[in-house]
Amino acid sequence: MNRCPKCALVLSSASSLEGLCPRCLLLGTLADPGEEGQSGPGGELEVAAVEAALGIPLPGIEDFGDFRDLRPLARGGMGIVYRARQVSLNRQVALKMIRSGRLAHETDLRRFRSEAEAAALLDHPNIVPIYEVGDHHGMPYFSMKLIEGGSLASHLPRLRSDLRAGVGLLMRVARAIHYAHERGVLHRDLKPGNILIDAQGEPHVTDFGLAKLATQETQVTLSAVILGTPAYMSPE
Amino acid sequence: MPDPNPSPIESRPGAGAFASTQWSVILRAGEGSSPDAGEALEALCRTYWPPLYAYVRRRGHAVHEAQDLVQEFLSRLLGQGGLHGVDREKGRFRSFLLASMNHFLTNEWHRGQRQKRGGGRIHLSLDQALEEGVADVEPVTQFTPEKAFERRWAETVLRSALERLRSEWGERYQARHFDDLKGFLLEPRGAVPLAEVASRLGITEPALKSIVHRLRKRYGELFRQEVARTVGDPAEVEEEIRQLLAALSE
Repeated sequence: MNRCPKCALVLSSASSLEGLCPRCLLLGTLADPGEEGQSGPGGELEVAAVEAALGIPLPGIEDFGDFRDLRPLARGGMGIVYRARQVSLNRQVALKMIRSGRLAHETDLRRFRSEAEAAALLDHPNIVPIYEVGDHHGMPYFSMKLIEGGSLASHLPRLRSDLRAGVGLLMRVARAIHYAHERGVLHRDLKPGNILIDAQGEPHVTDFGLAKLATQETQVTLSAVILGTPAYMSPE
Repeated sequence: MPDPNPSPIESRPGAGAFASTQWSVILRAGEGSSPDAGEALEALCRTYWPPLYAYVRRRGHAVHEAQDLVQEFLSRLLGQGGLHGVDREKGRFRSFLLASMNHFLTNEWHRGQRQKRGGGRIHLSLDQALEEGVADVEPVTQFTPEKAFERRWAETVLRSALERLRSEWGERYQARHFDDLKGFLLEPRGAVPLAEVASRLGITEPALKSIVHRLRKRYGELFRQEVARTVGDPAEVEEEIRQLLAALSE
């Protein structure tokens, strides 16, 4: 008689659970899935995050509306940011799209629009500005100023040995966040990876994907969903 | 701090998908006069016939006779008047199906003969399913027919959710890695060494943890959606899950 090595349940050869013990599988659905990484709202498998973790390379896109030569810069739980050339204005921009595009879950779409809306409310030298929000053949996108110096995460080793520069940089970030708060925008996922550093060493806060507008209905933020990146979340 | 005992429906992402469960659509339609209800019932039957087969086999019917009985039962159920007598106010699909099968078997017994099979609108590939091991019943003699039904039911719910997860995964990644990862859906955790699998997949442990987290979360959602298909009211999901767990206890 074949038993589960963990719970000793007699296993049925006919259950067709691919060799998995049904009781352990059911208990797995009742347990907290864990809090590794930024957690999205659910509703579908978080494609971009899984692909990033698997190291699956993102293909470039040659032609996307007014944009050409899209090359992936970064991807998060929900979206991908490309470097692209905007043809009409002949400038380089950062272009953000939802990874699953037309198949995106409605919650993701609302969150995506909310991000653009939150960032568009803010006009501050230390917040990445939104240029344009649009939809190309059912693929929602928005373009932003391109900041090319990498995120604060990649500058941390240098700043650890230059405390004065580090403190000065954080002061500018804090003022930018204060400015956002004054306009009713809570970032809610502030971390080194979301602070971009430009060629002059100036910080620019970005990724308002989890931001909350003070005037916004709470529907997008489901009460039981943990938002943010655990290592950088406030304890409450 | 997350609620340690969240309601599986109201507080879970994707809860909107359960606003109307498949079984509740059928209950509302009563005797199957609505095309939506007919389709919903057929979809449920296509998923949930293996518990019926396990039940009939444990009642002592031989393999081919059990196949015939299940096929005939489903044909009648999906035919005219198959939902006659369904209590619209309460009851889950699981209880309804078992009670209906009992009623059917009793009638068959009294009649002593069966009408021509296969005249209904559903035809399940029972032979193929049996060959694939989906529905066969191994001789676990301590199980009563009811226990065999309940247990196979729980396994079928879990299997259906697993197939959907595999399908979602496979659509994007050509099923690669899924077999390496599915063991992480189990509780208790720690049974599958992270380092070993991460090495096999050629990724870091934190990256693997991130994938596992998302797979577990999604499987939990799919499992609850699957349970919700079979209950009359989304509020019954949690109790139904408790009963499924009880069915998997010996």
